[in-house]
This record gives sequence, structure tokens and C-alpha cells, in this order.
Amino acid sequence: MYVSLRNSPVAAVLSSRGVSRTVVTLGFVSLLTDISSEMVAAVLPLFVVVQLGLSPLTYGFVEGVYQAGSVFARLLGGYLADVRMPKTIAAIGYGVSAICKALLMVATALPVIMAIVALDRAGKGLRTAPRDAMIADATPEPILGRAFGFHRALDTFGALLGPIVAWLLLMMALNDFMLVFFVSFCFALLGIILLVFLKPEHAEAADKTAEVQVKQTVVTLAAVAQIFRASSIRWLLIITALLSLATIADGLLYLSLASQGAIQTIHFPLLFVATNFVYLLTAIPVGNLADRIGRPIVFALGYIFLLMAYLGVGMVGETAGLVICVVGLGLYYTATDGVLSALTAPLLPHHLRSTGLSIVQATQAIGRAVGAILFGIAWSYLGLATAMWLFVGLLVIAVITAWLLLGRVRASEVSAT
Amino acid sequence: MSKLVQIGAFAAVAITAVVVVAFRVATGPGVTVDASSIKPSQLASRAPALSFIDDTASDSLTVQSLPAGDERRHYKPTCQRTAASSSYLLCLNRSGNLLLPFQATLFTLDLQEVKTVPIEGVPSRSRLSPDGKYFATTSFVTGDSYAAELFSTRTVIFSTAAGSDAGLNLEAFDLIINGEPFRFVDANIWGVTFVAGQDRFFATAAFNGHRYLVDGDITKRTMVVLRDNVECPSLSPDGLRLVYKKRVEEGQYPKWRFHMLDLVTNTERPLSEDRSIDDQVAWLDDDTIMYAAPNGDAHDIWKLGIAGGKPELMLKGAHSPGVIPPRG
Repeated sequence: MYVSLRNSPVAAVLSSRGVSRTVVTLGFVSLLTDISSEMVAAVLPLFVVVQLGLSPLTYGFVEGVYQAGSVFARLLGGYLADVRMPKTIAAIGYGVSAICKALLMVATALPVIMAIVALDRAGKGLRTAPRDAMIADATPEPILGRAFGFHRALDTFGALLGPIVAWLLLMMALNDFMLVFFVSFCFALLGIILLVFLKPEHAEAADKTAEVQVKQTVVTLAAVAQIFRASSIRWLLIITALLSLATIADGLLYLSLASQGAIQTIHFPLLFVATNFVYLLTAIPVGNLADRIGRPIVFALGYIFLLMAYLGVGMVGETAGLVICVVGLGLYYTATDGVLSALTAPLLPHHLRSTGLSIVQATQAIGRAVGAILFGIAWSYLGLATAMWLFVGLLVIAVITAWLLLGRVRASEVSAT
Repeated sequence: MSKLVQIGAFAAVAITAVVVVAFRVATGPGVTVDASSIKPSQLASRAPALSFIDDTASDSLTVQSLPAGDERRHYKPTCQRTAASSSYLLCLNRSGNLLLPFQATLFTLDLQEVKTVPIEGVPSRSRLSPDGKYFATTSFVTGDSYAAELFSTRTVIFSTAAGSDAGLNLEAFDLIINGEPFRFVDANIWGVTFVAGQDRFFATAAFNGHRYLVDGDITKRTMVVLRDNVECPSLSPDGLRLVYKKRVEEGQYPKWRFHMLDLVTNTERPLSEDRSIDDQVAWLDDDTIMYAAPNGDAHDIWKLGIAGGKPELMLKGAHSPGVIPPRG
């Protein structure tokens, strides 16, 4: 639910020189689609809890489906990385997600909403790999990095705009969620219109696609078993599982803030905007810091920031608590997003790199899903304060354990090379 | 050519979006009258009047003079359920508190807030006592329909007097069966209707798979079980008749028919509404009932003479009707 940043919007404008029409179009398709999906993400917690009157327990399950859905999305995308007709597959993916926005306008029952959220994530999984393949296909080797940078920057910009659009709509048409879903659907439709009329270009034939495609071709059981043979990976999976289990998804943290009256419900989507802003502002300095003091330290620091966010919620209703929570969460994303992959990659033999990465990411997604459900249950049965302190405790244990185990990961990394 | 189609399609979607947003923004809060702009007793002077929730105006609390035909006057509170009496308007509305999302707000007829109490779960029924002493709320704590296999309701009676915000949960009342008091842990109570001037009410109490009409006493905290298969009773203004829904078909999709019980002769007969309707009726006068029937996503209010005849469509796009009777 957070902005994925590899480049800033400013960098996009600077780097657009020489980027092909296909890449520019796909960038705008992603911009529109991200506005569409992030505006829904920013109102979904409110919609479930306030509009439909369902409990935080229930929203925990919705958040769980959202997180777990990304596992299947990734696997699905991975298998489709080498498809023959990337545009058709991508269009289907964008289409499925657009239809989901329309379906939300008529959904009131929880199972229906969970099914829609899962389908929406599946659509995302379906489109990502073929879209990246199209970008790679249309770009000459020397400016590949620039092309992807340009695309990701527009994507990020869309994710930043989405919650702002949602907030403006809620302000103008007092809590009209149907209107938010309708406008989200329109943005998705605009993205699809751009895509279907696009004639994919092909740069001179080269086998650069292999370099760009992050997804594996075939996953065999034997290969998976080989990954697990390395003890460093086993430790990393345990660390990942522990930390993600103790993670309260941002939607639930924001709901906690709102339920304490720290923010008026109508300004709820602004919490997503604020976190994304912190993320954008800190991405480059924290990246530099990681290069200087080492990724494991920054990664661990990320979870200290998450702990800070929890404690912010613990400062019941105070404005300072709100600020601490939002800043902590933004810094947490900056310090951990992408770092896990960077930590994992060197531990894997080259031919199993993408499979191994997807296993680690899947572990993280499942951990977060279980964490979201657990937090929802704890909130509903023990009350918010107890649930918060429970997760503070869980996270402290997870961080200490992770810190001790990270040493082993590094040690075995050395012995493996 | 395809370029033109693309630009056309793009523009069409964008323009549609802008038009819909403009329309929703214009028809949303714009028509609502701010409660603070209403002069005291402006509303009372308009009695008798009908109060209801206008589905077509963002669920605003709405008042229309009787006899019907007047414009709809929209007020600021948006409600899930309403009720009216000669001195109060009751509005079950959103609280903004995520853990207790709903509350009941009691207004005087000039829309001055008397009190607001939190209610657990999702609002289902609301009633005011004709003498102005009490109000009652029913909400679903689990499940969301009386048709569901498993649901749990909470019904609470509150005093309208300022300062006493604690309500009486009817689950704590003794059920009296054949003169013997019982407590059923899993009893569900819903659909209160008050008797004027007697600290007394009727309601539905469900236990052991049956749904009974009960006669409740607020001071003694008892509910006497009267008869089987009665849901959501509503007492006529003269206090002589009850109209309720009676289950005529069990199962996953139960069917109800409105029936009337003459309290003097203790005889029951069906009313001439053939549809299965899930509402607690309100009385327009001693001879006519009103109720909401779903119409797509919205509701329409219908009226029906208890003597017979066809149901008549009364108000489109409205539900939760109540009558503000003339004073004195």
C-alpha cells in the first residue's frame, strides 16, 4: 500500500530524453492506474469500518487478503514473464483491476469485498511482468536504466496523487464513497484506453530482456530445495517471517489513529499522502546512509522506526503521536523497502536468484497477512491499547531476534563465497 | 483514425467523470438545511407532519407536512433510522467513533440536541414513546438481517430526561412464561413499541427457536410472554391494536406477512399486503399503517388501511417513517 520508489518525479523529467513512445505511454498508463488503485487503498479501511459498520477484526481480514493477494500476484506475474503477447496479458491485468473498482460500488458484504480485493491484486500480478517486458522490448540497451527510472517515477507520482484525489472527493461530496470508487474506475479506464491503442515498438533485437526480467522462467521443486539447503537463507526466512508477523499494516495503524480521534475521519486519506511524502523525502539520504553504514544496520533501523510508529499510536489522540506515527512509518518504508531484496540477492546462486527472491517476498507477504489478521483479532477482543502494546512487545522480540540472527546470515554468506 | 477513436474515448471517460463528480457534489450536502438556521418551534408549528429519511438526499432527516403533498424539508443530520413523537425526533446516526460507529441522537422538534448515546452494532429499529418519556433502539451486534440463520440483537430503552444516559438493556429483564420468571442467556430482543403513559412496551423476544410477543414493564423489569410468531410489533395511537410481521414461511429466505392483533378481543387477522416486508410499521392514524419496501437500492414508503384495500405508494425514495402529531 506504499509508494514504490526507485526514482523521483523530478528525475523522471530529467531522464525522459531519448525514452521511446511506448515507455512514455506505459508510464502514463501506470500513473493513471496508480491514481486509481491508491485512491481506493486510501479509503478502503474507512469504507469497511465506518461506511459498512464492520469491526476492525473484519478489516484485519481484508488487509490480510490484500497482503496475501500480493503473493499470488507475484507468482502469477513470474510465470507470465515470458509470454508471447505481453500487451494482451497486460491489458487483461489492467482490465481485471478496473472491473474490481466498478464492483466495489455495489459491494456491501464482507466476502464480496475480500474477493474483489483479491481479484484486484491478481490483476496487478498479471500485468506487472508483461508490462516490464514491453518496456525492455522497446528500449535500446544503453538507456534501459533511464527507461525504467522514467516509468517508475510516473508510477510513484500516481501513487502520491491517488490519496489526494480521494481526499478531495470525500471533502467535496461528504463521505461519498461510491463517488471515490466511480472516479477510481474512470482513472483505470483512462489507463486502459491509453494502453489498448498503443502499438508496441521493438528496439533492435538483443537478449537484454533476460537481464531486465526479474521473474524466473520455471520453478522446479528441486531448485527450491536447493535454495533451502543454504543455512543463511533459512535464517533470513525466519527473520523475515518474524518481523513481518509483528508488522501492523498501515491501513490498520491509520484506523487506530482515527479511532482515537487523532484525525477527523474525513482527512483519513491524508495519512497515506503524508507517509508517502516522508518516504519520498528520505529515500535518497537513507539510501546513501545504507551504502555507508551497511544494509543490515539500516534494515534493522527500519524496524526501530516502525516501533516508533507504534508508540506514536500509543500516545492516544495526541497530535505529536500522529506525527511520530506517520514519520516513523515513512522512514520504516524507506529503510526496509528493497533492502530485503538487496540483502537476499547475494546469498543466492545466480540461476536461482529470482526464485529465491520471490520465496522471501512471499514469506514477507504471508507474515504481514497473518499479522494483520492477528492485530484485528487482538483489537476486537482485547481493545486497541492492549493490542498495540502486544504488537510493540512482539516487534521488540522480533527486532532483537533478527539482530542476533542477521549476524549468522552474514557469517554464512562469507563462508559460502 | 484509431487516434481519433482513442482521443474520443479518453475525452468521453474524462468528461463523464467530471460531470458525475459535479452532479454528486451539487446534489450531496447542498440541499441540506443547517439545523442551526432553523428558528425554534418552526418545526412544531408545522405539525402534524411526517418525518422520514430521504434516500434521495444523502439520507437526511426530512420532514413533510401532513396531509402529504408538501415539499420535503431536509435537515442536517443524516440518519440510518428515525422515529418521531409529539415532542421529539430520534435519529440513529454515525458517531465518527470507529469502535462504536453508531449513536442515537434525541432532538427536540426545533432540532435542539437533547442527548446522544452510543449504540452497539448496526441500527435496525428505533421508537419513541408517545408520552415522550422513553426511546428505544435495536441494533444488530452480529449478522445484519432478521432473515439470517445466526444473528444477535441488542435492544436498549433510554430515558429522554437529560442527565440519565445509561440505558436499560432488555436482555437483563426477566421473561415471564406462565407466571414463572426465566432468564435465557441467548434470548434476542428486538422491535420495541411503547404504550403511552404506562411505562410499558411490547417487543419481540426470540428464544428456543421461537419469536414471541412480549408485554414489558419498565419499572418491574419483566417481559410477559404472550404469543408465538410475532416480530416487530407496533401499537396503534389509540393503543387498541398491534400490527406486526408474522413468519409464514421458514427457512433460509423466510417470508413474512403483516398481521393485526386486536388487543381487546385477542384475535389476529392478516392485512391485505401480499408482499413479504421486513419493517416495523408506523401508524399514520388509527386506521392506516406505513412501512418501507425496498425498491432497488432505495426504499419507498407505502401506506395501507387496516380495514382492507390495496397498499398505496406514499413517498418514493424514503424510509423509516414517523408521525409528529399535532400538540394538545
